[in-house]
Parts: sequence; C-alpha cells; structure tokens
Amino acid sequence: MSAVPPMRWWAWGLLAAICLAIPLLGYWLGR
Amino acid sequence: MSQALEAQAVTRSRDFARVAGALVQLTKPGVTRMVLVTTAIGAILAPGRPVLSKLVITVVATAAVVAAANALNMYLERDVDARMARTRERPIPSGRISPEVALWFGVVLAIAGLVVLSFVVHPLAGLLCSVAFLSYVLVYTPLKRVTAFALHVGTIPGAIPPLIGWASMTGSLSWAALSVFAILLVWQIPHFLAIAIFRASEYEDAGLAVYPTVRGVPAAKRAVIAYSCLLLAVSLLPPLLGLGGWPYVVVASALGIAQIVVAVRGLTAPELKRWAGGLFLATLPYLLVVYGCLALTAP
Repeated sequence: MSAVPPMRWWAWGLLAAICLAIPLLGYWLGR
Repeated sequence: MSQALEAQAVTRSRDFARVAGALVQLTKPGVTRMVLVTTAIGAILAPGRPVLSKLVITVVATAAVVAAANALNMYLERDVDARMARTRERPIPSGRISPEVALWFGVVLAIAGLVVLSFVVHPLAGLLCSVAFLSYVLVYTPLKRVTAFALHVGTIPGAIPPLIGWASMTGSLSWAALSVFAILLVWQIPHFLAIAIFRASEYEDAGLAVYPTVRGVPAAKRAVIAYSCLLLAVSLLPPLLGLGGWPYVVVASALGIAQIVVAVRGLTAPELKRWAGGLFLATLPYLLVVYGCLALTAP
C-alpha cells in the first residue's frame, strides 16, 4: 500500500469550488 | 550502443502501454459506458431533434468527468481495495500506477470535461455534471465507510446523466426529464442491493458498511421487493408527461412485473447468491429495454 498522505480537506474543498465555479462562469459569460 | 537504445525504447513503450492500460482501468470502463448510454438517452428524449455534434460533445465530455470520478473514487478507496480479493488487482493497490498519478489524472480530466460541457454545450449541463461528480466523489465515496445509507445517496449522481443529456439539448429541465431521472434513481437500489447481497461477505471482511451486512439479508430482500414495486410505479410516469406511448406502457409494465416476480422469489430462494446474481443480471436489460423503448417511442 502507498504511504502517500491523504489529500488535505482544503484541497478537496478547492476542487469542489473550482468544479462549481466553471458552470457558473459559463452562465455569467453567456449572459 | 544502438541495441541498448533499442532495448531502452522497447522498455519505454512497454512502460507507456502499462500506464495507459492502468489509466483506462482506473476509469471503470463498464460503468462509464453505462453512463454514456443514459446521457445519450436523455439527449434523445429531450424535445426537438437532437443535434448530433452537440450529442457527441456532450457524451465525450460527460465520459471524461465520469472517468475522473471513478479514478478519484479508486484513489480514495485504495486502502479498502487492497483488502478485497476482487479489487486487489486494481491499478493503485497492485502498484501499476501511483496514487498521485491517479489523483491528478482525475482532477485534470474532471476540470477539462466540465469546461467543455459548461462553455461549449450549456452551463446547465456543466452544473448538473459538476453536482453529480462532487456528490459521487466527496459525499457518496466517504459515506460508504460510515453508513449503509450511502447506497441511497449514490443513486443521485448515478441518475443525473439523463438530465445532463436533456439539458445539453434544451438548456432547461422539465417534469418529463425528472421522470426519466426518477426511473434511474429507483432502478439503482435493487440493482446495487443485488450486488451487495451477492458480495456481502467480501464487504464485511473489508469493513464496508453495506445494507445486507448492517440491516440483515431479510431486510435487504424486503427492500428489493419494495423498490421493485416503486420502480414499476415510477416507470409509468413518463407517459403521463408526454413521453412514450402505449407500446412503452406495455413493455415497462411487463418488465416491471417480471422484476417484482424475481424479487419476491428471493424470499424462498434456496441459494441466496444464485438468486442475487440472477436479480443483478435481470436489472441490466431492464434499464436498457425500458430506456430504449422510451427513446424509440419519443415524440
């Protein structure tokens, strides 16, 4: 098994924010 | 000298093939294929003629995000996967790919797919895909270790793909679209309960909380019957909302009743695993035929 430390919670939070921001940006730019 | 270089090139190309093969396995191609079919069905069922180029872009971009979700799921579950015989040979626990590569592969693929869906197709398609991706990776996957209820949570991302297809064509959703979503939402519960009953001992050994091990097999059997009945009722919603005609009603009713019969037989089945395997195999064609029939009778 790998000894890689788990990805930090803030990193997952950042990924979630980016994933939600992309379509919202799409809406904003498409106005 | 040239022989040494040649040998080096051969080794490199072998390494490349090994990593590429591992990356493909990381995407769970079977699951991804099923999602592609349900996305395409959503696009076909949406009002108006489906635009082929948009359909292809939607399906490819959704495939990228689904592949990413599966890669990140394997990244997060690498410790559990290493404990089960069935999953021990997956790319990360077998050491064919490092966890970091799987992580970055998933992150980059997800962002790329969401950018294409949001900017090339429609932001609503991107938003739905984003919600499915995040609820699968960040809610369902960690919840699997904690509660058997995760099964129900997991049905939400699993049922969103037809909505992505629908939104890609219309840029909006409707009650008819939600009825197609509802079929997939309910269908997954007996489908995944069948797998959980079939592999109950494996999951128990790996320390995963699944319905049949937590609530007991008889409760799981009763849930299979209840959700199969609910599935029959829900499958009759689309015709009330302008989708599918009489042929669809006949096919969906016949298949729905057949699944209930299989589910009820579980109460008296002498061999539990054989019954669960049979139920699992019956649920796959159910979805394909019901959705296919809906698409064929689309107005």
